[in-house]
Amino acid sequence: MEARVNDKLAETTGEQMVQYYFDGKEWHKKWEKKFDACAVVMTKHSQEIETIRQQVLDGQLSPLAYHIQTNLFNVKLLSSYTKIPKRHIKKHLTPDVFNQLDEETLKKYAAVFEITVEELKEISE
Amino acid sequence: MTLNFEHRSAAHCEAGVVSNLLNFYGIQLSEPMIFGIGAGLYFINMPFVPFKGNMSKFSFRTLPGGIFVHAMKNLQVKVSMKKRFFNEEKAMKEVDNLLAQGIPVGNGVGLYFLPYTPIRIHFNAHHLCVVGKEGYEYTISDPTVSTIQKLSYDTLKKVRFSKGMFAPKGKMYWVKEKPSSSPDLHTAIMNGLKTTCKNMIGTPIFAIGIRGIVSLSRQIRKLEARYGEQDALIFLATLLQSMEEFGTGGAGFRFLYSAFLYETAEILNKPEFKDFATEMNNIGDLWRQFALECGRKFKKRNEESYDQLADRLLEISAKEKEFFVALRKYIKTACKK
Repeated sequence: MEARVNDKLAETTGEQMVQYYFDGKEWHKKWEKKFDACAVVMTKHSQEIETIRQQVLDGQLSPLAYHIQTNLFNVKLLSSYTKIPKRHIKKHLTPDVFNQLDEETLKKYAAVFEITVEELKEISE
Repeated sequence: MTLNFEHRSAAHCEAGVVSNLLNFYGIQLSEPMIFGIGAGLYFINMPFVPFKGNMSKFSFRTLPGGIFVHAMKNLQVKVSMKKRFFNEEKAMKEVDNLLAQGIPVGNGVGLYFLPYTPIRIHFNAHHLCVVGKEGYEYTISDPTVSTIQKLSYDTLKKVRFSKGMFAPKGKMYWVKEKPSSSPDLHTAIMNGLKTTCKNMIGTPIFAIGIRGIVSLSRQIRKLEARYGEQDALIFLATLLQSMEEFGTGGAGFRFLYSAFLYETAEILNKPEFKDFATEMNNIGDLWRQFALECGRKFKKRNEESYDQLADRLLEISAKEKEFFVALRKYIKTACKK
């Protein structure tokens, strides 16, 4: 049973991880391939990215919303990293407020996402 | 300066770090042994956590830090632990001081900003061991990768103070006194087994242990009606992730635990534990088969219905209950010192 299941596992592609297996006498450790469940979880995520990208291009949301989505953040988490209140971040999601932001606040956001301020202001293809 | 620290890869990060730390002080215990003595096997179903993005609603392990605390207490090793720091510079200085005395330091970190892992997820229950410092660079031993890695001062500070659920807040731990080379393994193993049995069948809460598995099966039956077709598949995928992908050694730690029981049989000279080990291995196979069916479900290849998947979980819960009741009875009667 064990061997058959492991063959099935090896079919799927992905990164490797340590797996334990039993050969009838002793326990062994070996590097195995992963299931690609992560890809399935990410399908919904990438759909959301696409809708938010459209909204940014239409001028309904600021680029900050796009970066929050692509980096798997949310408003609460971003607030705890930058120490900017949640209600302020929610305001910064609108383009009008975002365009008036000072350099210091932009730098705080860029430092969390590990990008430059210029990259924060635009969205990639 | 780098300590003479042997790096061994492991399936579970925390058990790996504790095993490597003890190995540094001359106690040779493998990763499954530490996992068993530290009572790492657990199940919790958290229906109260919102189903959003890639947040995990289930866990197959105890809280971060639990294995370290339980294993060291059962092995009677004297340790120190600092749970939180308010000053980040001070937290880094503390690590430097300990390294200068020749003591390797275990750290709780977040996964997201670690440069060498491809996993991008806000998961704050990861552990690694700092073993050296050269100028501005730290040498670290992370059991989930195969070689020793280097991290800069700023990155280490950032990962130690990552934010979110279970934020580590600079948590660090180390061995205070050099332990005697032969710990009392009999009582340590028995205490570990007792705690695990208590966690799995003795908790009177619907979400924890065997009851948790039953409640999860109940949830899976109603899954499609509650979340819709696509979200139901994503729910299964998150279950699969926490079961197989995030450093469990396979099938939600069941194979790892089976390896522990097998080693126990040899250390304590009690061949009955080998029967328990094979039984646990069979349960692990059932979990893995369940994972495979879930995988088929979201790949749309000869899929089963949600009712059939729920029945598989019910079968697993019945077998595990039988297993742990038998194990507890055996410990009470046959394993008195």
